[in-house]
Order: sequence, then C-alpha cells, then structure tokens
Amino acid sequence: MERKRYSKYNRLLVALAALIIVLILPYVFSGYILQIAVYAYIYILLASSLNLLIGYAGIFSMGHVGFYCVGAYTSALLATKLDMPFVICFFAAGLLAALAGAFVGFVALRLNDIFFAFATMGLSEVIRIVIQNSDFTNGTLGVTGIPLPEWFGRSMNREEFYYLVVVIVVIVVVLISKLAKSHTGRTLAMIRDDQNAAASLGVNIFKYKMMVMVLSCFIAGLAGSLYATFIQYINASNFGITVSINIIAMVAIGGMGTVSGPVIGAILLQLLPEYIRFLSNFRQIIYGAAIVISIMFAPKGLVGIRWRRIKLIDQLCCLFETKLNNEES
Amino acid sequence: MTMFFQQLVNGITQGGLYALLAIAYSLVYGVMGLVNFSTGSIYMLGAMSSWLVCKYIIESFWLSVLISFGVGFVVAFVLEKIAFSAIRGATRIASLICTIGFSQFINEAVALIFGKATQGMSTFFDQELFAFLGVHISVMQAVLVVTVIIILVALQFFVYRTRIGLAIRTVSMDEKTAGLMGINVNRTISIAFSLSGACAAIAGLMGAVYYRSFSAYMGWMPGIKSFSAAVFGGLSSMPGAILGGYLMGIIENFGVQVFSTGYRDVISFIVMIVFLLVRPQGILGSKKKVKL
Amino acid sequence: MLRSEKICVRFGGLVAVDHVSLTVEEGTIHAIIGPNGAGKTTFFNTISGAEKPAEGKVFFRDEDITGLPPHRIAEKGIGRTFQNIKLFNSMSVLENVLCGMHLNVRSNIVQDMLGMSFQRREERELLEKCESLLKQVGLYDKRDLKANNLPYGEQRKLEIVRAMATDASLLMLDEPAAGMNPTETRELMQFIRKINDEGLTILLIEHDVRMVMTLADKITVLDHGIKIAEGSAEDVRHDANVIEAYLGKSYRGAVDV
Ligand SMILES: Nc1ncnc2c1ncn2[C@@H]1O[C@H](COP(=O)(O)OP(=O)(O)OP(=O)(O)O)[C@@H](O)[C@H]1O
Ligand SMILES: [Mg+2]
Repeated sequence: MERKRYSKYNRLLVALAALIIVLILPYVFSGYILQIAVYAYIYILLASSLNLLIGYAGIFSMGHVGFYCVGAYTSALLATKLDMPFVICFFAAGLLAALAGAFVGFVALRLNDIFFAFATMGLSEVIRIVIQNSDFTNGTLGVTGIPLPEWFGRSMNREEFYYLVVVIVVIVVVLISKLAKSHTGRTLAMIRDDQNAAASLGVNIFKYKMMVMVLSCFIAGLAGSLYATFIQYINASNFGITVSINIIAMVAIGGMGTVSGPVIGAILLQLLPEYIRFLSNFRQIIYGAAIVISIMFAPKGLVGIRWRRIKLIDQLCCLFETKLNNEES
Repeated sequence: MTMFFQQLVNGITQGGLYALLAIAYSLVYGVMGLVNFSTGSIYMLGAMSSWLVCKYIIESFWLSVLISFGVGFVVAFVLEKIAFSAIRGATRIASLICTIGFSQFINEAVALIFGKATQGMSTFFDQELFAFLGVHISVMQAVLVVTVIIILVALQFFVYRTRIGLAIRTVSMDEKTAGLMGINVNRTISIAFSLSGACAAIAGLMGAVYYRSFSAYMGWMPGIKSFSAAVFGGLSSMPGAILGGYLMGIIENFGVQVFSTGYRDVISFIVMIVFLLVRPQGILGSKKKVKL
Repeated sequence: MLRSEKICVRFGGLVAVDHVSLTVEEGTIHAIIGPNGAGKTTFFNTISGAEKPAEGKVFFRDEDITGLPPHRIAEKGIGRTFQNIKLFNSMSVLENVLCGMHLNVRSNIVQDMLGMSFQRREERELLEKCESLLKQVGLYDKRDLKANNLPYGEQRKLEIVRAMATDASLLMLDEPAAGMNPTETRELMQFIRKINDEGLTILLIEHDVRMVMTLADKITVLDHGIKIAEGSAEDVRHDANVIEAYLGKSYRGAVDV
C-alpha cells in the first residue's frame, strides 16, 4: 500500500517536471532545437498510433508511414492549392488517412500477421511512388510554401505552433490512455491474445480491427498534417520505409501495449542522437541495435523493465522516498 | 520482336536473382513459419564480400561465389541463434521486429564502414556471347543464368534427396511430430536458416556482378521484391518460390515497357498485394489449415 | 434446443464428421463420446461457427444458424470452451471473466475514449457479477493472478466461467476434465450438475467414462465421424457397436464396459 502511494506520487512528480520542461522549452531554445522537439512530439503521435495496432490489437503494420504521408500531402495540398484554413486541412488530413486506413484494412485485415505486415509495407511504398510520379502532387519536387496556421488575423509563429502541437499530443495521448483502460482496450487485448477465444465470446474481430485501424490511421494523418505545416515543405522521399521502421523501433523500445512506452521511445530515439553530437552519425545503427536488444532483453520495452530489480537504482529510490517521508512528517 | 526477346533475356537473368532470394524466404518460412526480414541485408553482405574479394584479393568470380556462400551461411547461422533461438516462445511479431532490427543494423553498419555511396564492382565475362537479330546476350548473363540454375538444382537435390533435406521437409510439415520422430528440430531449423542465408548471399554476389556495383542499401528493394516473388509463386513451396522469382523478373522487365520507369518498383508490390488478397497461397502453394 | 441435421465436414479427403444428426433437449446434459479422432471437436467447431460444414444444417431454438461466424453464434447464446485451453494469458483471472462479459457491455469506442460516467457504473456492475461467478468456482482468491499461472485444472474452470459469463443458454464443454486430478474432477462434476440445475443446457465432450455415465442424460457416440450409437448411459454401455469402436472387433460381446 505504502509503496503504491509513493509510486503514484513519483509518477506525478515526473509528469509535472516533464510538463514544465516542455512548456518552457521555447523560451530557452529556438530554431533548430525547437524543431527537433516538434519532430519528437510528432513521432509521439506516430508511435502511439502504431502502438494501438501493434501493442494493443496485435496487428503488425509496416506501412504506417503511408498514412502519415497521405495526411501530410492532404494537408499540404489543401493549404497551398485551395488556401484552406489550417483547421480544415488538419481534420481533412486525419479523415483521408483514416479513409485510406479503412480501405487498406478492409482488403488486408483478413491476411495473417506476417502477410499483413508485408502488404501494408507494399501499399505504403505504392503510395509514396505514386505521389512521387504524379504531377498533381508536384512529383519529385514536393510541395513548398505550406503556410503556418492563422489566428487573430495573423500567421502563427513557430513558438505558438509548438504549443499547438503540444496541446494536440497531450489530448491524443490522454484519449488513447482512456481507450486502453476501457472495455474496448480489453477487447483489443483479447484479439491480440487469442482470436478464436475472443470470437467465441462474441467479439466481432473484423469490426474491432477495422475500428482500431481507422483510429490509428486518423492519428497518423493528423501527425502528417502537423509535420507538413511545421516544416512548410514536404517531399515524398521523406516518407520511405525507414520511417515506418523508426516508428516500430520507438514502439518496441518504449514498450508495446503501454501508453507511456511509445511516448518515451519516441522522445528518446528522436532526441538522443540529436543532442549527443557524436551519436548522430550512428543514428540508424542505434535504431537497429536498440530494436534487437530490446526484443531480446526487454521484450516489454523500457517501461516494462523492473528498474527496482537493479540494486543501485532501488537504493537510490529508497533514499529519495525516506527523505520525502521525513519532510512530510 | 527484338525488344521482346531482349526483355525476356534480361527478365530471366534478373529473375534468377529473385528466385534465389525467394528460395531463401521459402526455406525459412517452411521450417519456422516466419519471415526473415534481413534476407535483403544478407544479400547485400554477399555482394559486399565479393566486392571486397575482388578489390583486395583477386578478381575471381568463382572465389567470390565461395566466399559469399560462406559469409551468408555464417551470418544467417549467427542470426538464427540470436534472433530466433534466443527468443523462442516470443510472439511472431516480436521475431519479425527483431529481424527488422538486424536488417537495419547490418545495412547501417556497412554504410558506416564503406560509405553510403555506390561503389563500382569489377566486371566479369564482359564479352558478348552472341547477338542474334539485335538481341544481345553477354557471357556474364549466360554465366549468371547457368550458375543460378545449377544452384537451384543442387538445392532441390539437397532438399529432396538427402537426409537433412528430408528432415527439413518433415519439420516444415509438422514441427511437433518431427520432434517426436527423433528429428533434431533445432539443428534442422538452424541448417535451413543458414542455407537460406547462403542463397541470399550468392544472389547478392550475382546482383553486384550484374549491376556492376555495390552499396550498403542495395539489399532493400531486391529483398522486398523477392518476398513478393515468393508470395506470388507460393511461399510454402520451393518450386513455387523459384517460379515466382523468374516470373517476377520477367514481369518487371516487361512492365517497365508499359509503364514509365518511375513506376518500376511499384509493379512487384502490386503483384504481391493482388496475390495476397486473391490467392495468398501463391501459384503453387497449398493452404495450411490451422487446427483449433 | 440445438438440432444438427446431417452435418458433414471434410478436410481434403478425410471426412471428419459424416452426416451427423442429433438433438440436444433444453435443460439436459448431453454428452458426445468417441475414440480419439472421432470428430467430436470438429463437430463442436461446426456448431460454434469456427468450421463451415460442407453439408447439413444447424438449428438453434429452431433458427437456422448454419455457417454464421463465431461471434454471431455467441450472440445467439451458445458458449464454448476449447480442448486446448485458450485463455487470455496477458490478463488476470478476473479480467478473463470480464472478457466473457463482452456482449453485455454497451459502450462504444468513442464513449470509451471520452470516459463517460455511466461506464464506470457499468464496469462496476460487471465486476460484481464476475466476482460472484469466480466465488462459485472457488477462484475468487486468485482473481489477480495471471491466467497462465493457474494450475491446469483451474485454467479449465476459468475457461468455463468465462464462457458462462456470456450469459449463454447452451454451454459446450470440450473435455473439461482433461488434466484434472480426481478431486478436481469430482468438484467439476458437482459444478456442472449445479449449473445444469440452474437451467443451463450442456453439451459435453469427455473421455472420463465415469463422469459421462453419471452426468449425462443422453449420450451420442461418434466413431470415424459417424454416429454409431445414441441413448442413455445404460443403452450405450451395452451397445455392440460402441464396444467394438473402443476395444476392437475381437472384444465384441466379450466384455461389459
Ligand atoms: N483443421 C484440420 N485439418 C485437417 N484435419 C483435421 C483438422 N481438424 C481435425 N482434423 C482431423 O479430423 C479428425 C477429427 O478430429 P477431431 O479433433 O474432431 O477429433 P476428436 O474426436 O476431437 O479427437 P480427440 O478425442 O483426440 O480430441 C481427425 O482425424 C483430425 O486429424
Ligand atoms: Mg477433440
């Protein structure tokens, strides 16, 4: 009981600290570092949405980047060609990606896990190559001049957009965590654990898989819109399979099937190579190695490691807790 | 007409590479029901080792074949020990993710060591074998086609005529029963896996010779395309995988004539997706039913 | 209550179930027995929708349910367990039973994300129901254990409870006593009797002869996919075909099972 209270207390503390860092970041840094932070937040959306598929429902998609790409292009084209306001671009991006997800799910979800993985990967490549070769999307040149959103009659600056991204990410993660704890979350876990048993209890597996697919792709589409709007320039070559693999790495390393796992995975894998200079050349290699190591030694990811098992950490924690305890009393 | 035959010849040459890689997928899928995503990376390692041999030791095609074979065999052996044996009992998804990690790791490690740029490869058998009505066939193409066929035949012999081959086929049918019959399942899986690596590496060598180049990322596309080819022909059947490989090579080379070259890479994906949806067991494969 | 008419299931050349017709009366315990590979599990799978029959029809409460997908059949009120236990191993014992309540949950995915207040009430009601079910089989104390940490016999019990949680009116149990020790088997028999007395109809596959003979109101014997005998325990015990199927021709008439 005592332990539990403290662990809740600790977690709150960590969340608060993280929030403060996130909020003051634009005051301390600007330019490049801000940009990296926004990338990290966008990757939180991508990793969390992919985690809905891989971690919760046991659907292994290797084509998540395809929906991200659809979202980014929808948003970019609506904004540049039709001068649509950001809100419309943003939700249209989500909706179109969701529609694409519904289509892909409808045709591919009856395949077994491995075939589904390769089918989605193939489809995401098809999407990329078609965009790269079509005049409508500006082909290999990409879409330029995507405007930042407007508010109060003027264009947002990048710091303001940063906060917008933070708000969206927080909302999405909170909604996902509620979903995970709800009966729908449990139903997805049933499907992941044993489809035959789930069906025998009345679970319409296809329906649930479709729902989670649509939801996940919707979020990926939103992430695409944020990316396009923030970077103001997109190119189909930025949406290759490597991106899918990076997202998978984030989910696997953070912890599949947990809410905080993908968040931590995304931040870690995005920030570490950027801040630790000498690492940046090794970035992709680290992704690869980290995937292998985490699957082998920490199949539940960083979140699943029982840090307390490691003696030194446990002692430090105890020290910290007794101190808190003393201060309280 | 000339065009037709030239494309056919090119398609068959390239199809041979795909067939070797498709066999690599099929061997692993057969014994473990899994897909080794790093097959494309082993292909690249095969190309790399032959490139190194030619650059630093001696420009010999046949020595390269031997070395590639060895490298592929050993790498796959180690990979199986780490990625699959060590995490037996993990979910299929976890194993697949693990091989993705390996693939990424191998590609990037090679990129780090030898650079990301494409390197030139020594040319072998450059002379023209014959030209007939404008169809050009080089000695190199002939050698590649013949070598691939020899390897495929040898492999068929191995799988269908030897004791180890019998063990591989038995494990493919039913791992549990095979174990009960006294077959060393783990060893069989290990051998099939290593053999699959060797096939992939030799395909890589052929790729390096055919395209006269080597680069750290050269395994991506052939890796994925030949998986498509294996699905196309039938992942669970070795003859199916070979057929799929050759057909894929030919379709791709004709497809480029119909669509623009920008869409070249899409063709194989579309073939794969269509087959996954319409006939997931492929042309020659058979459906496996799961017992409740 | 349940009626199958000339069901046939084929796997390639093998006829696993061959024109089997039977009727399960409401409120009874109906047992299906037969040697290994007789087609009992396949027959179950056909009724529960996991397998589509090549020929024949299945009626439940006079409604044609042939070829419906498994979840639709569960909705009709047919629950089942599996010969090789299929629990949700990432979840606790209690959560497994909660999963069985799936058909009673009203909320949808959007409400779940927003976390409506009526849901918490609903969840609490479901929890209470699950807990009382667990108490009935004596698994309440182990409710927080991971399902696969239970001993084998208790895993079987849990699977039965989970199937009951769907509010099924017909329960199909595939070898529920397999892997249980004699004490557990006795308890299980009492439990099955009790839920049957409370109104649940039970279709049972079991190799444990004593269990079948004491519990079943009616026994159907399958062999090589064919129904070779049917009747009360007494009828079946003396049936020549049954003795032959189990013991071989030479024993015909020689023994009394
Ligand atoms: N999916 C399947 N594919 C091919 N054959 C199958 C399949 N399922 C069952 N069979 C075969 O059908 C026959 C009947 O099997 P079934 O499992 O129904 O027998 P059973 O009576 O339940 O036996 P047991 O007492 O061993 O559980 C067996 O010969 C079995 O090998
Ligand atoms: Mg059975």
